[in-house]
Amino acid sequence: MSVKRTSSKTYSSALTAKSFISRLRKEPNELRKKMLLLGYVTSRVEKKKESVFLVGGQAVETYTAGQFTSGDIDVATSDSPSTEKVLKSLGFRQIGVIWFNEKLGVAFDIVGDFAPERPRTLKVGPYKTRIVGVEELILDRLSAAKFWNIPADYEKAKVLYDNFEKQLDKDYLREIAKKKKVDDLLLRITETPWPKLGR
Amino acid sequence: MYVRVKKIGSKRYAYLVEGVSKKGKVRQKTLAYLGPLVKIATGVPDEISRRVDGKVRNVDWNKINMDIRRIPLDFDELQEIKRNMLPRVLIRRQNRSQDIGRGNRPRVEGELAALTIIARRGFNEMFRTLKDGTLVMR
Repeated sequence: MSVKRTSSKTYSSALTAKSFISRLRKEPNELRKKMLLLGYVTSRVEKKKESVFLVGGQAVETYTAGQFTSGDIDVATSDSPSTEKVLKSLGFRQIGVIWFNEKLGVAFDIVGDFAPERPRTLKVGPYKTRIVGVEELILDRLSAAKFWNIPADYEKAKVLYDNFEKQLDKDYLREIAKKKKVDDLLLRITETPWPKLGR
Repeated sequence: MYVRVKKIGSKRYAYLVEGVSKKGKVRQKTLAYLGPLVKIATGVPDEISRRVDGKVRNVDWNKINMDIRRIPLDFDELQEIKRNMLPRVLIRRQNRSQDIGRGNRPRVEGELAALTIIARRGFNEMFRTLKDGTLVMR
């Protein structure tokens, strides 16, 4: 899978909202487009000493390189009004709780004012953004699978666990899983092997 | 009775027409305007079908919708449909009524194992992980 992208020279942190959007519309890779957009939003919000974090379905999409797609970009922020102001300046309009940009075909969902415990930095072009850690994402998906009864979220947790197993802080994972009462599901994903491929 | 598509400028519009025989030749008679193709591509909305039913009798909407779905769409039209549909899909997804597209069905054996491998490969191609855990998109 080759990643189509525009040159990183196309983007800079000094771009105005209008010229950023017109460049972003030419971006051929959907995931990169979303990450650049999030990076730009983060850079603008961080000027006010506030933060934006990528969480939820879009974080799963990022960690699985688009294998589990998400419709909107779920973000948590330390300052919703500032983030909404930046989105407005980029041509987003509010529909219900969603912020939608028709030209880009991209929607943001500000899910709350909180910060993940163990975020990771994600660099894309000249921008930096923050993404929820894999451990927290696995626990979040397991909670959704158990308490919202969404089997697809169990599958996402399993894929994330298998692909990032070597990097995971398993003590932390077990401790928080116990607190969130999803330790039974965590045990299941750690002990269930995939069926072997091929004959 | 069938659907005819006319291109005006860069956009395509759909009309409900019927064949009328005049002096031994068959002519198309426009019965009603259905709307831009991108707005009816997934089926004629109720408000349009109600309006047309007021003017034209005995419209077989199942046949008309099937005819419309057979019309090939170009890339720009598909993009516009996607943009129009996104807010509705998101609202449904927020209600968490179902996992859109899969209907909450678990995957078949082996599918997820294959998907795991593809996801791992894709992630490694798209991202580089630095020692401090920072992800760099290539």
